[in-house]
Amino acid sequence: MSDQEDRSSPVDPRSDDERDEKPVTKKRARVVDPDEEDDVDDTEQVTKEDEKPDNDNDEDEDEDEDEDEDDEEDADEDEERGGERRRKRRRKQKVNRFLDVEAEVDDEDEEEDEDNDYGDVAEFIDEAPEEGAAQSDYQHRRLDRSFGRNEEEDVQDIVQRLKERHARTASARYNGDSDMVPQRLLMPGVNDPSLWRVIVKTGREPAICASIFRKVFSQQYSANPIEVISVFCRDSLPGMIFLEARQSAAVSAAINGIVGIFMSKGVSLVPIEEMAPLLKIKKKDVNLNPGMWVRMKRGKHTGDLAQVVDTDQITSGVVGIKFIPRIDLTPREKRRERAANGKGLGSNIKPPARLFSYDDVRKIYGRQSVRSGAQGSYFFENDEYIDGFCVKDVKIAVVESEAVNPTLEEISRFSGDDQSTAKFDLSAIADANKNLTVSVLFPGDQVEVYEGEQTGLYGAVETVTPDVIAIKAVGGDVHGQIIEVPSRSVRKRFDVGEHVKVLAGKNANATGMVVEVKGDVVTLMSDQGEQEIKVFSKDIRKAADTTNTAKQGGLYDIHDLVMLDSTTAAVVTKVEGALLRILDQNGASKSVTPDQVTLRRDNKRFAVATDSQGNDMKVGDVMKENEGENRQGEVINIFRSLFVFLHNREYTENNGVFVARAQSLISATPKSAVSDLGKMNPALNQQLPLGGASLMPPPPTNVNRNRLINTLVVVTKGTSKGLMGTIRDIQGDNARVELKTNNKTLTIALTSLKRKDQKTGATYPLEAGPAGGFGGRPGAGGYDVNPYSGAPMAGGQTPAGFGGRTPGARFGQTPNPYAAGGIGGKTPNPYAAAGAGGRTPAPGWGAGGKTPGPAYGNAGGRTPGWAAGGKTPAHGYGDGGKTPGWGGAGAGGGGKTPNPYGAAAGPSGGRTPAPAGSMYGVGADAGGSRFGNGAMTAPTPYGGPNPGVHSAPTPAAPSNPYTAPTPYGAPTPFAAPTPFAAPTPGAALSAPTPGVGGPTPYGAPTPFGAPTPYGGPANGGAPSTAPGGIPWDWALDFRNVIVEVGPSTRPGTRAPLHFQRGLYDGKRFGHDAIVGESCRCVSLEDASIIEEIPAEYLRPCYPDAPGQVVVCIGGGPEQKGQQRTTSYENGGSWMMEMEQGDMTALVLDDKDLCRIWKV
Amino acid sequence: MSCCRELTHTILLHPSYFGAQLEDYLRQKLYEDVEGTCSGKHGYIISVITITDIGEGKIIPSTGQAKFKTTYTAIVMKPFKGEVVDGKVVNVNKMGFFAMVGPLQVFVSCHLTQAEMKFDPNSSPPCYRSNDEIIQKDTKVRMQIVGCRVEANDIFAIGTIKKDFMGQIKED
Repeated sequence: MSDQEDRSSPVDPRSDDERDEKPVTKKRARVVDPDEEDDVDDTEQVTKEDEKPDNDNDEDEDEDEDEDEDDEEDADEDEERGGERRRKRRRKQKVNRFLDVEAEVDDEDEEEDEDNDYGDVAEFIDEAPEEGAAQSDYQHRRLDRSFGRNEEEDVQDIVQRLKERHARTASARYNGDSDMVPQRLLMPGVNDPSLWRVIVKTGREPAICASIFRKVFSQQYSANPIEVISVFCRDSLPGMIFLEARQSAAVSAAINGIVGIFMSKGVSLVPIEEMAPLLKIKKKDVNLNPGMWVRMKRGKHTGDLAQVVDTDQITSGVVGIKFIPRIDLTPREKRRERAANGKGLGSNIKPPARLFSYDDVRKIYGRQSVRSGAQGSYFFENDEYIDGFCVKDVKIAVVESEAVNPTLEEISRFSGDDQSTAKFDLSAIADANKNLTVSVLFPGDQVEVYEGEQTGLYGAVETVTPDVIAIKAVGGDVHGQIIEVPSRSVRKRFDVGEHVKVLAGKNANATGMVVEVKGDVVTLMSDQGEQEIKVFSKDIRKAADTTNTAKQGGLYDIHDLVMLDSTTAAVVTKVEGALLRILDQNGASKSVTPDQVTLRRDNKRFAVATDSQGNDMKVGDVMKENEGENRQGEVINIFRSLFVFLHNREYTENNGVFVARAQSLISATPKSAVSDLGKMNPALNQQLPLGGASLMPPPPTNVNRNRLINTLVVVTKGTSKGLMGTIRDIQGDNARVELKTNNKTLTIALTSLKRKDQKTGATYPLEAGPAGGFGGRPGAGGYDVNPYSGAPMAGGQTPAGFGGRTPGARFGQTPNPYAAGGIGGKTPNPYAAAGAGGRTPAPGWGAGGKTPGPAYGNAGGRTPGWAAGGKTPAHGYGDGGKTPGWGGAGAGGGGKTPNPYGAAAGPSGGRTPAPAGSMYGVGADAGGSRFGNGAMTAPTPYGGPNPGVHSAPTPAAPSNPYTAPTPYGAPTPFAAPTPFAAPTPGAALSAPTPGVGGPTPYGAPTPFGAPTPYGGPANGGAPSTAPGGIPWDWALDFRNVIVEVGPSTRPGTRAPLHFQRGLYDGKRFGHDAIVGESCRCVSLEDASIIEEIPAEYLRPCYPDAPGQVVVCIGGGPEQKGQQRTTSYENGGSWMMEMEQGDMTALVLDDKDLCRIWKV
Repeated sequence: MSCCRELTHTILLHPSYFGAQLEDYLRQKLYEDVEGTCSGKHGYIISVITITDIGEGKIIPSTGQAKFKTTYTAIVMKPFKGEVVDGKVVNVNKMGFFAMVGPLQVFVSCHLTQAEMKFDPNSSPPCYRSNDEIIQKDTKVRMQIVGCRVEANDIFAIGTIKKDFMGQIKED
């Protein structure tokens, strides 16, 4: 009965017909449910009356009616419901309709067994005679008479009889007039039948009730009627039914054999004091105020938010609400079509909620369907629409006023647009949301008490129970105490500046910082974009100020790489207590326990992968997908150089971790390669490697040979050899040369031409490019070029061609002895001796690493031509080679020769050999270094004793040509031509040689000429780093020269590359004095700066203009130390002004010169 | 608040950089790596003052790279709640204005300004105006930090000028 109450429509008018039935119901109701009697009665009256008018009209109404009648009967039957009940009702209904008396009998039957014993039930029986008596005066009179007649009867009997009678009528009267009876008298007592609870299958309660009911009925007239007075179930108590009976045996009999009853759970007795509450209806105090939010419970608007606008008729159970209508605006044809398809008229389709628009509705439904009312309102299908909203009076029952929880979104829709939301009184919403559901509170949250006696108190939540929370108070007298407050009266508290996260609503998952708190509404400044968000305080939580900074203990940490099996890797995205949330290499996310995975060795430092562009990526790089979602993130792990795990805080999925294939990634922020010291030094690719050789030859360069046109050349080969001419045209590898002699123009191979300096008469190679025809061996040339520099200029190229030839020519005669005698072994030496500097030889060796080997192995045949190393010595040895050769020495002779030299080297070579040795010692090639030493000694002596011992003339011839080229510096080239040029210079120089004088005449220059060429290539190769062919400690031999500070030239030094970190790099100093291995230098710019600079940082300051006083710091011994004045410069060579005793102009390489400081 | 802190930084060096200038590379790398960065723990690293120890290079097996653990002292800046800072306004909009305090961006919401201070979108540049104050781009303001959000490599702060002596700094 109680549960039906909601469904009754309290508004409908009553019908008088029903009144008659009322007493009956009342009486019955009283039996079991005295507490609720009044409510029930009222309800029933009302509902009964509802139905009368349109009874039988439609099914629904019929049902309602059924229900209502049901209610009456429920009073008897203690709430039976559902289909079964309905059937039963029908049966009864029939009875009721036609035979009122029997309706009572029904009940009587049911309770007939108890009739005799109990007053309330007995009333039915007693009442009948009483009523009869009351109805008939006659009977009364007769009764009187009989009393009189029986006066003699035993008074005691009479008393007894009266007592009985009165006792019965008294109880009957109480029942009949319940309004006057105190409730407590109606409470069940020990004398009343007991209630038994039986556990049944949930959801089948009404059906089971009905079954029991039928069973009882069917057996009521049998020999063993079931003594159950009532059976009922309650919606609020699912899974159980209740039977009213005096003994449990009756209950057992009633439920025996009925499906759905759990007999095993037993039958339990409901304590008397619980019987009344069991049937109590919790009265809902519906408290509706205008402006309040409610939700619709029925119809197509189910779940829609509505606002109470009118509560004038609240007493009659009607409330005016306003909501957004759902009008089906499907075009008529379509609707018809849909109907034709059997889909019904949209009853199962919920039209979208939208504001009422007159035009739209008229278009679909026609003009006459919409009627306009006062003040811009419209009437459509009996509903009134104002401002687009539907305004309607509905029964209170169809709206839900609890747990409405309107979202800001809904409300903003309601108020039309977002703009007006601002104006909207948020307090109304706040009220609706006031009841802080406990579920949103967690221990540790800051809350504030906003109502009750503790108002204003705030603190952190300690414990949470459904109704009461304990908070640890902050501030005031109760500071630090734990205080219990009702959970309804607290709200979350936030301070301005706090970082919070939105948990629910439109902005769920947004984070931001609180900028304003007004009651329940908190304004955030979103982290994501520059916008403000207004949310309820209940919908936000304090967020960690810092992300991912707190390290968690435990074996696995976030972003660790773990292995699921031997081939599947995953990354920990979250550590949830004992569980790990992981993302595997295939992008699948799952939770695992730590023992399901193994931790992979931390390889973050080493793991590399190649991205889509072939660049390597490492952990920590920011990469971007170049396909798919184009996500971007920082690499956190790399597995097998194939799967890359990235992280981006902005993605919520998997806590920002995602996996991508290395091949689909591209660097997002191109990092300058320079700043990444973890990768190959890019400088090595651009410039000469100091210690190693690059493996690839530089690409061939095409030199524009047209610039050779009009060059003065001399022919060095062929029939025209020795003739001079001018190039008029270039055709491939040939040149058209206009000869000076006979004015003929010949086609001559470029390789057969040499450039001739008009002034000095010196010849140079025609061009410096690698394409030059010198080297018959491009491969070898390539090798040679590299070590020297990327710049295939004279230095680089020359030696190649040179080397190729020189030895060929030279060694042709005396190769064997060298190889055999190990003099060839010395070959490298001259390099050192030449002081090409620490560097020059180094690359030379590096590149020619193999050269010496084959060179020696081949007995010096041609192999030396391979490397700089190979060829250069060729010179020196060319000479040296001859010397012994001439002397008639074989291998043995060769072997001997060096010895005396070695002896001589001590004094004459001075310091030179020593450093050479040391530098080789550090060199990579031990063999080379040793040879170097030996070699060193060899050349030095040449100048001295050698010539004396050996035939003066012999060496002279070969030496001369050497000397001649030497000064021209570019020497190298010169050396090459030497053989050819032999005659030429010979002519010129034959004079000087003897001229110079007796003592030094012959070879003196010769041997020294040898080293020069080395200097040449060295210069050409690394002009910036290798200061000519001079040793690194040249400065210790001189004073009063101008020096320039630069990087250390000392090979293999451990000192820093730059003096004082390059403070003085490029600055010029005057060399004042020698202090140990350093030089005291005075700055030319600022004489107050006096530094002691180690010699290795000092480079000579080359002449740069004619007329400068220079000292020769390199070159031959007789030139070294000479002071000269520059006169004319050509291609890096200086012609000196003539001095007394000069037979010819002295030409020196500028690298051999150094300007004098104080003239 | 700015202060000096001793910090460490690990540098990996490719073998191709081994040589006389190794230390130079390391220094340069250290400066490039740490100056101007921000960590949640220490705040912004403004400048490296001294390098206490460049570290001892350890060759990592299998790669040949050297690992240097460098110790250095740097000026760091970390904002704290309640700190009063001076900054320069860089952006003004209807929600409030942004001011830069060195590398730190501070947002002052319009809710955290004096009640009489109103946004004036029509002026050029847009500004907040009250009876005696105008806050627009490039105005120097003094504000109090009320909250900080620290991320792995950035810090944001919310400030207020709704207090005595806060707001525009008037230069006389």
